[in-house]
Amino acid sequence: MNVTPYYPSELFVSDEISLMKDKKSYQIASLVLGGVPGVVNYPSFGFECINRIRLFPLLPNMDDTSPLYYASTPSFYSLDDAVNIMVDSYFSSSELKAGFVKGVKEYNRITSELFSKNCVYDSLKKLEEKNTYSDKIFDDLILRTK
Amino acid sequence: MVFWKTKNDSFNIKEEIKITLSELFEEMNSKGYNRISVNIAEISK
Repeated sequence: MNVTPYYPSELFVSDEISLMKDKKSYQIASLVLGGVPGVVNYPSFGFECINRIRLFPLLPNMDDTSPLYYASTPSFYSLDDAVNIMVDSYFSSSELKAGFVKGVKEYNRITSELFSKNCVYDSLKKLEEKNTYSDKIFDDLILRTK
Repeated sequence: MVFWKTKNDSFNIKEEIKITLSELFEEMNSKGYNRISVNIAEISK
């Protein structure tokens, strides 16, 4: 079976997850700035287009987001090529802006979820408490020396 | 939908998309976004 590398399931946007649950093949287009650390590296900023074709393997039931269910074909385009593709497919700049706004919301949701899953918020809170405690000690010291 | 696109119109559309893309990349760079999905479409058989 041909398993191609793809992003981890934690980075899937909600539309993508619903298409996967419906067992659909889909294409996801994204703007990328040199790649995603630990997943993919691109020579510069550009337009990433990934075709994901749904497979129906003879395997026991797995999670809907399993990479064994999809053959992924990634493509990367420079700015000029991306413009030509968008013009040829009648993709307007307003649609692009609307898609970007939606994408940013998804990005923030995913980041927030990853932060809370990995206890980043708790660590930040502890760090803040620690800082306020050390500030208090420092203030006390200053008061004593005066 | 435009069916009678002239060469000039096509040029304007290209320029508009290019400017929009540049603005979006600038925003991504300033805010530290590394990948933003802009479109998801189902592939029909």
